[in-house]
Amino acid sequence: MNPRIFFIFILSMVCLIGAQPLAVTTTVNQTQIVIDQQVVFTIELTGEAAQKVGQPELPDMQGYLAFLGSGGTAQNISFVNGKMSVSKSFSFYYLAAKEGTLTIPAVTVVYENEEYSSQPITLTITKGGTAGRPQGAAPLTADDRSSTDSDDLFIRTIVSKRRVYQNEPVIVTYRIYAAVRVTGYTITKLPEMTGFWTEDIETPQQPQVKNEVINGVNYVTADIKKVAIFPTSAGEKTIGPMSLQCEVKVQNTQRSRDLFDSFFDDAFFGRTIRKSIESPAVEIDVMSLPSADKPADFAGAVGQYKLNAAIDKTDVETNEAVTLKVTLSGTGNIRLLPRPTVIIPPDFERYDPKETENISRQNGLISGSKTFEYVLVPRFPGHQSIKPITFSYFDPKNSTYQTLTSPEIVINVAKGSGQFVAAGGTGLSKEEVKYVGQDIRFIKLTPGPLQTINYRIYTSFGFLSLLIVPLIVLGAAFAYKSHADKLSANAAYARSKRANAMAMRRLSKAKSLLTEAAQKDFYAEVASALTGFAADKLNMSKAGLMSDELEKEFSKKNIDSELTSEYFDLIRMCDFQRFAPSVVKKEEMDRSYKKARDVIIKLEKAL
Amino acid sequence: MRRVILLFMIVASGCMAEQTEYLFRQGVDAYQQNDYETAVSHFEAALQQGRASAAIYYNLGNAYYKMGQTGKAILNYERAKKLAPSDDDIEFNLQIAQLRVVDKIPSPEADFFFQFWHGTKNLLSLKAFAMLAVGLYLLLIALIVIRFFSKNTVLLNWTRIFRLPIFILLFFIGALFAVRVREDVHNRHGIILVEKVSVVSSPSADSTEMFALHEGVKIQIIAQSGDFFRIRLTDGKDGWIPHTALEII
Repeated sequence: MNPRIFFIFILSMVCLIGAQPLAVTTTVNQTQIVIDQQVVFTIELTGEAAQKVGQPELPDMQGYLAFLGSGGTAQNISFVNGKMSVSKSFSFYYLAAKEGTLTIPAVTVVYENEEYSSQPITLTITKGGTAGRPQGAAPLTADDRSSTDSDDLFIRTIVSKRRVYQNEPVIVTYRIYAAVRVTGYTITKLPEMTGFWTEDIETPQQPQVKNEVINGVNYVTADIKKVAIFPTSAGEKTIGPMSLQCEVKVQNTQRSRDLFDSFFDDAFFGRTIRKSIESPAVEIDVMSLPSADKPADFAGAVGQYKLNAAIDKTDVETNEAVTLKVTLSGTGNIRLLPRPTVIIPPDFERYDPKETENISRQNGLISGSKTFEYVLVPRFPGHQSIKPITFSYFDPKNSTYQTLTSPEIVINVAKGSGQFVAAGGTGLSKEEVKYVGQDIRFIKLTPGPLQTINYRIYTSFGFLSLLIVPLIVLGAAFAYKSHADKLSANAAYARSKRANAMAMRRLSKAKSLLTEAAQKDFYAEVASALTGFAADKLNMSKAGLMSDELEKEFSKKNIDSELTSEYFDLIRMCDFQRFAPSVVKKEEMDRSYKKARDVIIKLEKAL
Repeated sequence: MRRVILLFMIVASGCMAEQTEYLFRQGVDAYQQNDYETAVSHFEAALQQGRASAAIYYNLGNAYYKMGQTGKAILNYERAKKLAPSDDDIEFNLQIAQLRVVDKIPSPEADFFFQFWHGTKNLLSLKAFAMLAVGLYLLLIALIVIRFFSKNTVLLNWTRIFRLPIFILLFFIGALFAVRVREDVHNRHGIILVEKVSVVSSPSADSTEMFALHEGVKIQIIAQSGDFFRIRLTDGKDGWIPHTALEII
């Protein structure tokens, strides 16, 4: 280790032990600058409280320096002997704008009601050329051999334009400036480009190295990355910073003078240290395209273009494919070029165009051509014309819309040979291909079954009657079947059905005997009607029907006792009168007849 | 008197059938001698008699095809196909004739189930479906009536075995028949017969042209307004064309 560093380290440790919680220091990378030069202004906060303090307010530069952007924040925390030391630095980029002497006022930070201030810095801004870099800040002095200033190595974001139209390309170049020997670099963070379509521009594998003198310091510069960006929408857009890690060779052995030094010194001629640098973020103001005079078919193309439309042949036969090539060439966002308006007559079979791009990224421009290849198959003979193809774009150079028009293309389509060529393969489905080249099959020699033209079977009388008639037959069969079932399969049912009719027949026979002379026969008939009715209803044998048996059946059927006794009284009366010697009056017989009829009617209801 | 009229009608229809067959044979002869114009006129005359068959339409289609009239050929093949949907010759010649059609209208990709359904539905002509359905229907009713009245147990057993399968078969055939009847009533198709017709966006002569159709394209007619038909293609495009440009199948 370098003894001086070691000494400083010890010293700073000693300082830190009794240090106040916060110290504010401000630095500029150079105090004597020329107009249009960049200045890095850094505020450094050290001490325990540094962590808890936000970004300090920037001092007023009184118009001498124009703010360019923030260079970011760096924080360093280390523990020494259990004590934490924190340093935090904010860097800001300024551009010298005015000649004169500027005193950057002190930066004040308030922490726990105490103010901590830095020392003011005096800057001299000169007109240019004359002012040199102060000797003390020359690179690689013995004192800063192990580190490099941000002054010695930085990166700039160079944009071709800061105010552009939507979709107008901006060329962004990242240029590294080195006053030290850079042996290599790696990009650790690519710039963030939200809102832009980016196209990398080719840069040589080995960046071309140039010399540039800034502020009297000779810098080696190299463009390490170049992109063309196309803002996709209007508004303020930011190109994010790009981070690099550089390997820097630091020479430090030549001037060692004493033994102590050489003891700590490296045995090699130089050491390589790593250093991170970051490009500043850049704001781009994107204007939206003017709405005045915007052509109807404008689809967003911006740049300078030429339109060319060509057809490979103008005399074709039907079903023979022709190729229409529409080429747009020029500078702009080739890849995102919209299709020109091509109106193809409906008699052509068309397919989606094949799009090919040819993009050149050289000379710091995105240029090239985009070709749209339409395959057209004329299906019909005749003079077919493809209407002029139009393409509209916006030219940002003179802020006007331009419309390109190709001449009309006429194709003479001749009728192709009768057989449809499958050679082109166009328009024929897989099923169809197997029929190609075949002739139709021969006619039929017999007429086959004839039927009336426009005959609709489902409205014909025969069809409808064949539907309805069986239904009627089925219904009739069902009705007949259920009736016959009840009649034949159930004799009792049949007998009971017939009981009333039988009784009434007997009664009417009795009525015909309603004379005093036929008294006995009359009562026999009435009795027979009464017993026969009950026997039929209950499906019992009439012969030998005992009255007590019948009574039992009656009570089973829940016939009320009044009706039962009435019924049996009547039968008994009939039996009596049949064998009685006395003559009964005709009125008496008539009453018996009516009574018997009433009883039968009542029983009919009850049974 | 009534008998006389009936007799006359029978004789007359017999004559007409004979006339149709006679003209058919004339057409076949002319076709075999490569005289397609004459063949066409004979076949057309045969159809004028009021009765038709798949064979007449098919032969007429062939004659038109040979004359180069693709639209009429396709029209007649389609008509023949309606009467005999599973006739291989008709299908083959229809495919060949369709090669001459200028417009290739993509049909939606048919999956297996759709193909199966389509095949089943169009297995038989409408008439054959009707006859099959009626036959099954009569058989089923006969079985039920036998069940009512027969006392023969062997016969009753047989009817019991067949009743359910016949019922299920009748159900499916009846459903297919109903679908076909519905199609026959609602789905009207036509063939473009003119060389080229512009399909316009509304049923008036001065409306804007959307696309063009050429002879032989089969289209579905979905509406009619004045002298215009609203048509739809298998790929879903639709528009209006004058009714003179097409003939209904």
